[in-house]
Amino acid sequence: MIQDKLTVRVQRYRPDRDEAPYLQDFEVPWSHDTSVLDALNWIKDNLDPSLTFRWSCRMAICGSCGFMLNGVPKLGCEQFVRDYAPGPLRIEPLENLAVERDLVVDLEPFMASLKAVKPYVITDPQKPLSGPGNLQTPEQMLAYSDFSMCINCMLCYSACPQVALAVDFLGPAAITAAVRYNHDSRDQGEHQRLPVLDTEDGLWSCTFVGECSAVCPKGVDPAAAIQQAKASAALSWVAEFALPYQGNDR
Amino acid sequence: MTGPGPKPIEVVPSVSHRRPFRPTIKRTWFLARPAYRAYALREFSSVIVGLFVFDLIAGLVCLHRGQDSWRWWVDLQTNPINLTLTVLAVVMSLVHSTTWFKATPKIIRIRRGVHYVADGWVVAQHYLLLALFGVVVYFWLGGL
Amino acid sequence: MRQWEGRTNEPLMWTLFGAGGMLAVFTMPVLVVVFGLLVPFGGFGGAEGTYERMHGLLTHPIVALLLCLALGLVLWHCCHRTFHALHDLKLHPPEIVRSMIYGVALLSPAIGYALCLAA
Repeated sequence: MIQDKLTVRVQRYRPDRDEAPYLQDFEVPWSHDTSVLDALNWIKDNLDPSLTFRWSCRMAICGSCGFMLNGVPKLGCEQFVRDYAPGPLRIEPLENLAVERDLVVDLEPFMASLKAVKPYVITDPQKPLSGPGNLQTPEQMLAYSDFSMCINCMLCYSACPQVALAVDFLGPAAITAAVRYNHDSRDQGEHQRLPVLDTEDGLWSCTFVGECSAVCPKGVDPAAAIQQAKASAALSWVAEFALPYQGNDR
Repeated sequence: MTGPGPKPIEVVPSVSHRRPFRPTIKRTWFLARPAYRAYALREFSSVIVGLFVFDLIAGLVCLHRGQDSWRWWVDLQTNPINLTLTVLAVVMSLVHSTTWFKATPKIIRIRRGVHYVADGWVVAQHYLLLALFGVVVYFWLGGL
Repeated sequence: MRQWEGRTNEPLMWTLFGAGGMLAVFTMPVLVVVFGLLVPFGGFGGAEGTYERMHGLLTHPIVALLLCLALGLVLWHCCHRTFHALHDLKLHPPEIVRSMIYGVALLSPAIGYALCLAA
C-alpha cells in the first residue's frame, strides 16, 4: 500500500552532546486520523527511539503534549497531520520555557508559581461550618467554573510574551488558579493570595495581550481571570485606605 | 546459607547532564505573529491619542485667552503637519476605542441566573455610549 | 498599609489607567473629529461659532478644572501604556524615567489649568 508521507521537522536537543537545538527531518506516513502525537510516536517506534516528548491521555485532558506546531502552541493529541499536509510540519518545544531535551521543557518554574498562589480551598478556622457542609449554588459555581477547567498544559505560557520578557512573572495559568479559588464561595483565602498576586512579577507584568485565552484548548480565558484579579487587587488597595484595620494580620 | 553471600552493589552517584537551553526573546517579537502586531498597534494608539490630548489642552488655554487666540488654535489645526497627525489620531483613537470595547466583556461580567450576559451585548452598550457622546457634542455645538 | 515583598503602587496606577481609558474611549474619537477636522474646516460655525457656544461654559473655573482633570486622566492612561510599552521593547529604564513619564501626565493638565486661570 502506498501511503502518503509527510516531512515532520522536529527540534532535537541532547544537552550532553549538542551545543544548541537543531531541526531534524523525518518522513512520516499518515492517514486521515493520524494525530500529531501519533506521528511523534511513530517516529519514536520506527525511526529514532531517542526522540523524547511528554504525552499521556491522548484526549486533551492531561495537559502533557503541548508543542509549537508551525510556530503556534497546540496540544499534539488534538491536532491532525491532515491539517498540516503537505508539510513540512515543524514541531518545536513550547516557547518561553527552558528546553531540557528534544521537546521536553522545564516545568519547575511554573510548579513553583502554582504552589505560591495556594491553589486549594482555604477555609477560615474561626468561622463555624454552617449547616451540613459546603453548599454551593449553580450561580456561585458560575463565578469560577470556567477558570477551573485548566489542565496546566502551558500553552498560555508559550503564547504570552510577558512570560519571556518578565522573567519571574507568575504567568496566566498560575494567576487563573488563584482567581479560581478567590472566586469560590467556599474559599476565604483571598487575603493570603494577595501578597503573591499584587507584586511586579505577579499580576502587574500582564499587559493584556490576550493571546493566552486565544490558545487555551479548554476555554479557560485566563486573560479575563487576570484582568478581574487586577480589579480585585485595586479594590483591596482602596479598601486598605478606606476601611479601618480589620484585626489580626492573617 | 553458607558462603560469603552476594557482593553488595556499588552505588556510584550519577552525574547530571542537565543543561537547559534558555531561549531569549527578540526585541522585535511583536512583529512575529498577527495577534502580537495587533497588540503593538493597540499600545501605539495610546501614544498618538496622548499627543492629541496635548493639542486639546493647548486649545483650552487658547479658548481662555480670547477669540483671537482661539481662532489661531483652530487655524493651527489646518497646518499640514498638524493635519497629518490629526488624521493619524482619528484612526488611532478608533483603534484605541474599538480594541478597548472588545476587551471590556472580560472584566465587566454581569450575571443573569446561571449565565453571563453575552459579550456582544456588553460591547454594543459601549458603542452606544460613544454614539451618545457624539450626539451630545453635535447638539451642544448647535449642529453642523 | 500592609507590607509584603515586591509590593508596589501599581494598583493605584492601574486604576487611574482604567479610569482614563474609560474616559478616552467614549470621548476622544468624537473630539478628534470635531476639533481636529470639522471645526477647523468651518463646521459648527468654525472658530467664531464655536467660540460663542463654548466660551461661556468652558472658561468657568470649575468647568475648566474638571476638563483639565479629565484630560489629565486620559493622559495618565496614555503615559501608563507608553511606559509599559518600553518594557515590551526590552528596555528597562530607571525609575526616574518612569517618574518623568507619569510626571508629564500630572504636570501637563496642571500647567494648562494654571495658564487658563492666568488668561
